Amino acid sequence: MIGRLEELLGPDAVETPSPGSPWANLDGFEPQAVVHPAGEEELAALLRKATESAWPLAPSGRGHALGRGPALKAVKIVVALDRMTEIPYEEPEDLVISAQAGVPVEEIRRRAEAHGLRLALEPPFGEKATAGGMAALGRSGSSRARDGRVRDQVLGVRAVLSDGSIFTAGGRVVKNVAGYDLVRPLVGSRGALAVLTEVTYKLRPRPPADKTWILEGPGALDDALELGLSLRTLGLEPAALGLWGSPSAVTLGIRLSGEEADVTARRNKLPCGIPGRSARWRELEETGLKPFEEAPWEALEEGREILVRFALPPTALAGFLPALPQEAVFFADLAEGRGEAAVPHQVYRALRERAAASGGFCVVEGGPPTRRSPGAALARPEGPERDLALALKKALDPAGILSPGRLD
Amino acid sequence: MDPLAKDLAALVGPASVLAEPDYLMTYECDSLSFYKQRPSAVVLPENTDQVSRVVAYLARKGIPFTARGSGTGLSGGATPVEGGVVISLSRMDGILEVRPEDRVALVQAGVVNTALSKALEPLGLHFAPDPASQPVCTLGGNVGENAGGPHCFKWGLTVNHVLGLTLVLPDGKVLRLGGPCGEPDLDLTGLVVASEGTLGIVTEIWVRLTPNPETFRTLLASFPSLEDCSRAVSEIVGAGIVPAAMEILDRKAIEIVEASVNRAGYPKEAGAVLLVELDGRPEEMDRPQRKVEEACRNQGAIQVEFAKSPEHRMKLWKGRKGVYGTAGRLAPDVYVMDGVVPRNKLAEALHRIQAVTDSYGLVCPNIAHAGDGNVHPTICYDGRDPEQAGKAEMAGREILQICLELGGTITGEHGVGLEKLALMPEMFPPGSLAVMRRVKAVFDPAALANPGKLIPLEEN
Repeated sequence: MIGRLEELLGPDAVETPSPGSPWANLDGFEPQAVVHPAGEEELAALLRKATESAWPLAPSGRGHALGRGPALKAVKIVVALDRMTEIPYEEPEDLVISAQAGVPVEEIRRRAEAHGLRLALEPPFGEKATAGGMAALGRSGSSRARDGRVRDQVLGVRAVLSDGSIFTAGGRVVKNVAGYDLVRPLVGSRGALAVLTEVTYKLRPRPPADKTWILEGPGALDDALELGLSLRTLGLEPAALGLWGSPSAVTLGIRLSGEEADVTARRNKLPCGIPGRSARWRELEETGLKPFEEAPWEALEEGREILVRFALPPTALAGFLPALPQEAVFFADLAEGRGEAAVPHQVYRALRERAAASGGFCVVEGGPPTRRSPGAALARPEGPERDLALALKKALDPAGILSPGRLD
Repeated sequence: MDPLAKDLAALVGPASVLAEPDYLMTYECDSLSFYKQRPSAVVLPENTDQVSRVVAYLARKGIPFTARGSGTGLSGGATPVEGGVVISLSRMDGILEVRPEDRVALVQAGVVNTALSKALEPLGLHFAPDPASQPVCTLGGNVGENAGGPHCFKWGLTVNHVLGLTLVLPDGKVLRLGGPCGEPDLDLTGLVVASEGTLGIVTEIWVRLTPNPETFRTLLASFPSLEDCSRAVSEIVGAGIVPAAMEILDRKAIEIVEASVNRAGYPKEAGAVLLVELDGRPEEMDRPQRKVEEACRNQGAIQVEFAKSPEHRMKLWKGRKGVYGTAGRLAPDVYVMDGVVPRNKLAEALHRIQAVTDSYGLVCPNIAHAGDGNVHPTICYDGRDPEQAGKAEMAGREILQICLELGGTITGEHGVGLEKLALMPEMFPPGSLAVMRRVKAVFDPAALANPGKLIPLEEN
């Protein structure tokens, strides 16, 4: 296989994954090769070959977040898109940028900022995130209340199917209803429907004021949760409203963005704190709710937990979060009713049932691959909705070589 | 009663089936009267179960069907298919559940857009997409077309406000996609939005609700020319201001509005007017208002005025929203275009569009959701005169080709329907159309759900 890959892409584009690299072990399997196609045509040729030869593969940006979602089944090749780093279209006046899949998200941010704009997505990935990976994973960050979902920020994509055919979906303008909106199912499909090669993102103006306050010392979950949920009804329209930590030691944070006078006016509406406690609001030097990025992962790296992802009607968090076990580490977006928690796997079933009872869901997002079977990692692992998703996968990837396990 | 109508009546009751030719005539087209086709029958189901039973029956018989809301679509998406049945969702107009604190509601597909926002008024919430037809059009239709409207520059399109759907597949199976918390796995809800009834029939919708703005500042600026007006839009966007809406009307549009009952006080001597609305909290208005005013003056505005009262604001908007209706005074038929161009190409696009309609000698008021680069040239013609109808169609095609040349799209919010089918191969490479056909076949292998709309089913 290695020889044939080298023939196809050139020897310098094929490597065997070195121990310790993020590609050395994918959900318990050791891929035989990591390939770095230089462009869309090479990628298309590779996919044609892989379909022909039944080589299962997983696309990746720079090796980040591969341990998320339903576990991969045997993968022979990692297709790293880190050489596809062009910005083919950049129109700050039109608030649009198109980036090849391997462009670091940081690069898009830098370019946007140079024009007084911002990429309205803040997924908690740090410097490893890529334009393609962010769309493929479809994971929004703590600013979802203000910025919406990833799929709301993607205007169009270029992509390659497993049979090597190249296609576009959507476009580069903010309104477009020509044909099926293929962007929607592709965003968040975790590389299982097609390999994204280029993503067009919306940009937004940077607000004149963007500030974050955290409530220091609120202590236990109940009081802080009650206060946090009550903030939803005050007309504050936060850019982010988060509660994080562990049930015995939580922090509440709120981010307000907009016109300077407006942010100040809303800040002044914040209740002083929790009656009977010495908690008080402190403005952060750097805006944004960073713990979203750190807390659950730290616990996970200790290797004894699973990471669950949940979404409930926000008011139902009042019943859900107190049900987290004492050893849990979590981040909850109180504005949107979503979050993640590192918990012992034994409590997962109960959390899943509790979320479903209020019309939401709770799925295993991270942890050992054996815990991330479709039954646990998908909210609807069976039923006609699932059948339809599987049929779509089969129609776009009949050989089933793209990220096997993520959807099927 | 013919056998088809009899069978349908047995499923939903005789009061829910129309088969008399006089009744059927109402359903032979939507608001694009280029295309007409009388359906074999019309069914008016009252719930998802009835829709499912009707669809399952039609699937067994191999009879195609077309879902319809209020028939306000502008691309022929609800034009019946030959020999087909129309399934009208208009009786499914129940608001099933409202959760104000979670800002979501579950509605049936036949709920009228404005009716939902009116019902939510006491709660201080509304459904944000506001197509011009909103007093009449249904939410199911909004989902089918991914409707927008003037305020979607700030608030987004229908797809940004839909969290889940009940979908009756073309074989009658009922799916619950997403829900009050959105789509957990693959986003099939988002795929069904804008699918123009070709993937099944949407019967219920979980919608996201938006708080009503506390205040509005509505500004009307008049300019010597369309180009100046378009440049003001670019300057506003470039200054980092995100108004709720930015609408352009050209001289012809001003003229017809001012001669109608929707008279809004637009200055008749202007080459174009720009209607800008800022919304939000009182504290967030001043700087953006200043910037908007500045941009208009910098680009040569003749006059800038702010709405002095809520009534004045309504009047300014009534003029804009009444353009299509008012255009009907100029000619028996109107053909509303729906191209989109990158916002920084708006001036060029409007200039070229005007040249096209002038070259055909057609009257064509131009309006645009300028903040989105979405242009709605409204071609007025007499459909009884084949030559004029031919010119209207050719001019329309040229206009959309201009949009494509400038890097835009053939439809921003009205859909492809029948009208723009022929342009799909110009918009998308063959690979993209092939993927769309595969998607269609997954949902609708027998091609019974509104066939022949949205994508050309056969490869050329």
